Amino acid sequence: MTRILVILLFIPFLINAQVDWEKWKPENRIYQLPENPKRDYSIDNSNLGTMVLTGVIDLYWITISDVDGDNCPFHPSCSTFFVKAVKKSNLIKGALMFADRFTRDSNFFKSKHHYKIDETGRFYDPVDNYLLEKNKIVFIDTYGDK
Amino acid sequence: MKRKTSQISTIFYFLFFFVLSTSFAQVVSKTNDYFNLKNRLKFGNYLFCQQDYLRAIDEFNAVNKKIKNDTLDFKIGYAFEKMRKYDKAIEKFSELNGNKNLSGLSRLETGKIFLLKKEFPEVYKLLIDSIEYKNNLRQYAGRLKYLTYLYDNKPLPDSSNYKLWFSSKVLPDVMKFYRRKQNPHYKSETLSGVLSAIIPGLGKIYVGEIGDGITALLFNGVLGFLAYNNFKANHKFRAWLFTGLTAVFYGGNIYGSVAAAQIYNSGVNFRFTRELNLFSKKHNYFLPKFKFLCE
Repeated sequence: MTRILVILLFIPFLINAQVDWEKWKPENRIYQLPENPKRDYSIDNSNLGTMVLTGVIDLYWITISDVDGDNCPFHPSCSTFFVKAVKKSNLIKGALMFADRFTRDSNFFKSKHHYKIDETGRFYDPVDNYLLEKNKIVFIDTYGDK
Repeated sequence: MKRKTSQISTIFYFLFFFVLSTSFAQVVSKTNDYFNLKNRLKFGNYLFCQQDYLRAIDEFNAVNKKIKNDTLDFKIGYAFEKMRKYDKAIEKFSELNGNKNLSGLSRLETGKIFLLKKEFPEVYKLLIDSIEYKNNLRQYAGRLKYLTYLYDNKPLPDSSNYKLWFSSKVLPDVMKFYRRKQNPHYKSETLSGVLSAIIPGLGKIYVGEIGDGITALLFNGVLGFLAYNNFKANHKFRAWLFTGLTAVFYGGNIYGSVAAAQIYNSGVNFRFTRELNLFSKKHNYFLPKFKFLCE
């Protein structure tokens, strides 16, 4: 009787040992970057320039970006950066900021070590850092202080 | 029969001792007041040392209501300071202004809070009359004052002052910060812009962003070449399109170089402040450490 009990005691362990095989299965990993915060598709009617720009950017998002996938390594993405830059400054300054951002995004050498990675998993590169206003420059500190 | 009698007696003794012990326990609990002032103070101190400042303040306040104690007032202020409730801490420390023993210390702590709040003029105002501080505290006041100069954007005082106030143990580190503050390794924003105007991307390379610089050079070169080639081939629309794009990217490259220099300089300031913060925290802002503050 005791022998049977001992053998019965081993059965749950044996069942669990079988489950252990699952550890060696390939892991289901998603390499896709987390999605950017929801896009604002509304058209800004405050002036003609922003109205045209937001319209063009919306068209780009709907026809290209949303279909192609969320691939920009920066946060905010280049298109959002352009809209924000124009809204925070003017069309000319915003266009220059966008040209600079586009060049940095196309960096053939992928040397983006000087950007911090934020909670979205992307390189943090806010518009405020490029307005040429020193007091608005923001850093993410890896040690905890901002 | 005999065995049965012994079992009954065992049960009887067990019950007797059980009842006796519970009644005794009740007597003890009636006579012991766990919430007496001594216990509350002891518990408050324990919480304070465990950095459970909020509950420690409650205990200290309960004791303070019955027996006014300046040390407890100081500890409450210190607990507020640790919780980053700076205004409440300042208020508490100001209550100790006329105190014989703790007036100087509370002023030093207030100075430290103003430094943490980046209200530098208030620190100088507090510490300017270092004569008011007792001899043993004057050196702390002096150190805190000269430490504040390293945070502030004011012109730095002469380095001999630092040699006067800081001990030889920490002086080399302090002087490193002094030199870094005096001669920060900034990059010129104008030079960066001019360099990028001469050769696209050169300003970025000057700032240290070599990859971005070479990319800007390639972008401008390719777009410029396309504009030139289309003009040569008499494709006017394409030629003007690429000329426009070249102009935007050329302007963007100059703008970006100036911005990159500015960000670089802000980074220099940011790293300096962060390292100075770590250094100051390590040395408790050069203020005295006390056992009663669990330091």
